[in-house]
Amino acid sequence: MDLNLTSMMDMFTIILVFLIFSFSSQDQNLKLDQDLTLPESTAAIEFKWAINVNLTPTELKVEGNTVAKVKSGKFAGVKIDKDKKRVLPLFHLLKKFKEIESREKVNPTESETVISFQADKDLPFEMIDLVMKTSAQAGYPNFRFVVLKK
Amino acid sequence: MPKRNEEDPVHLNMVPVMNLFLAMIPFLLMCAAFFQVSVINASVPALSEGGEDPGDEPKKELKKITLNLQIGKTGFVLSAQGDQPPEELSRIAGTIPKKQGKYDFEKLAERCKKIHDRYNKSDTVVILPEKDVLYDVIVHAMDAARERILDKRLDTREHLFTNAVVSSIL
Repeated sequence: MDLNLTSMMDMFTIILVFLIFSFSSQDQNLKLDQDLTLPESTAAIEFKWAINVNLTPTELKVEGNTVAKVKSGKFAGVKIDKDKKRVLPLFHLLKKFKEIESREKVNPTESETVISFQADKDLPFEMIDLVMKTSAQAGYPNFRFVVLKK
Repeated sequence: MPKRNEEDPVHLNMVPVMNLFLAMIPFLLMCAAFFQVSVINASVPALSEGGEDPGDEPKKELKKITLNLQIGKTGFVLSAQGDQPPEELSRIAGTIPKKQGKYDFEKLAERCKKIHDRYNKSDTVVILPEKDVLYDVIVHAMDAARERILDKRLDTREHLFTNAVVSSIL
């Protein structure tokens, strides 16, 4: 009994053509967090090396490690210095990174280390402001907001 | 001699083609980019430690302003800082109310373009959202102030206020 391979070849050809068009050789040292939805933007700057800080609707993570919990658009069960606008666990962790960076050449590029910031598009600015101000006080005032290209 | 009514069908050897497909498809699937990611450069305001005695008065930059963009519940509020006289800076100021309950990003982009055409050495916008403003709105406002897409197909852009500083309203 001969197998009819016409339809299978047809399917493979279409999938192959589609995947060839989707092929990207962009170097991305970036893992997108599944728990958040990035906003869309017309920005076209390529992604570069940075410390990954992710703010999802449920967690604040630095390089994949959970630093604080989030509930209903506010930090929950975590110490916040309201006067200095600091999320304390985040501040201490980034301070440690800064110390390590100054001791050892961790950043392979000549440029300053930035914070690669991924946040869910529906989060209020109050939370983003806290994270940004905490990072700036720890020695990282420059950010790269990761967005989806429109 | 038997009469041949039809030519015998030619049987192609599909094995090498299938082999190629089965090798390429998993590789391309792993490299496929189903969405493209990009970044927007931003910073927080830097704290100044106090200026040194400048000696000579610094040269006034009359073609440069710093645009302030407040994002509130009712819409956008524009204002400016610079070396220009206060009457001139007050002409830049204005509001862009929401249109049918939604932020009017197109009008914001038009206003930013007009301001940048007049003060073409400007490159900094200070974004001041209220605490309840969503991150999505802030990103779209940055897009409107940062650049204008002239041709989507050729991806040509006109750069407006490319340095974004995010701060909070005190």
